[in-house]
Amino acid sequence: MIHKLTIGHFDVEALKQGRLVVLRPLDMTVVARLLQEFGQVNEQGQASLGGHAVEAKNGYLVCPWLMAQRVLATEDFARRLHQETGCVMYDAGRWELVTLEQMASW
Amino acid sequence: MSTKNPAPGQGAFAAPGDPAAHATDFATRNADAFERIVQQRMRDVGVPDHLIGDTPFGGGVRRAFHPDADTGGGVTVGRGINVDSGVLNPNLLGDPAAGGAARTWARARLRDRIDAVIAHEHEECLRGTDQAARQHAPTTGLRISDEARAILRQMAAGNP
Repeated sequence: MIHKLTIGHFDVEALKQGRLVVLRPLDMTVVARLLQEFGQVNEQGQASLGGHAVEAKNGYLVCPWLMAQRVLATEDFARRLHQETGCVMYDAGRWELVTLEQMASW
Repeated sequence: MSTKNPAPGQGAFAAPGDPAAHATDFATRNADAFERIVQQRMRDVGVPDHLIGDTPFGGGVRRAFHPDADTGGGVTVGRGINVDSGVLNPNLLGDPAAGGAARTWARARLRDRIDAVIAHEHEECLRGTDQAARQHAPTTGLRISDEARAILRQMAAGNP
């Protein structure tokens, strides 16, 4: 129903088999800077994009994307994070990798 | 001594602090019952048998109800659909105070939420994209409730 964008450095072959294998953690310095730029971070350090919470997992992120409305802030955040770190975007609800080109028409 | 009128946000009937986690916990403890309910509802509204259920992320047997997932439902395009613990989360579509689809969803009965998810995932399964599913789900040929169509219309309106 809704779609979340799972972002990290993953083993792409494992993703195709429905397994999430983190090759290395995201650079949280870059993540924190971009969340400040595209989202909101409260006093407790909890981040949100488009008013929806970002889930920080073990080395990767799960971001709100196609909610009641499309969260464009997540797309902008993911685009920049991909450009700066080469991370992978994945839709776990569909077992599919998401490219920058596909995001606008997912 | 127990307090007859506990402070707001406390007591047995207080809203859970994390509705998503509460929904997943309840769904996991009652997964087999939900599996029967969702399978039957998919048949009742007219989902073809070969599209009922798919494999959960991480592997396992094909199921119509995925208790560990929290997005309302999911799809393997062209192969099958599922409903998940997100249908139990009143805040799935966001803060109900924001109005629109989030409020309609939060106020809906569980049965109508399940119908809305089934229709959305069925359209996404056939048409291939979430965008197309949002556009076509409100007028789905499946026999879903009017209340479910209202949720789907709100979602379509939010995504021109």
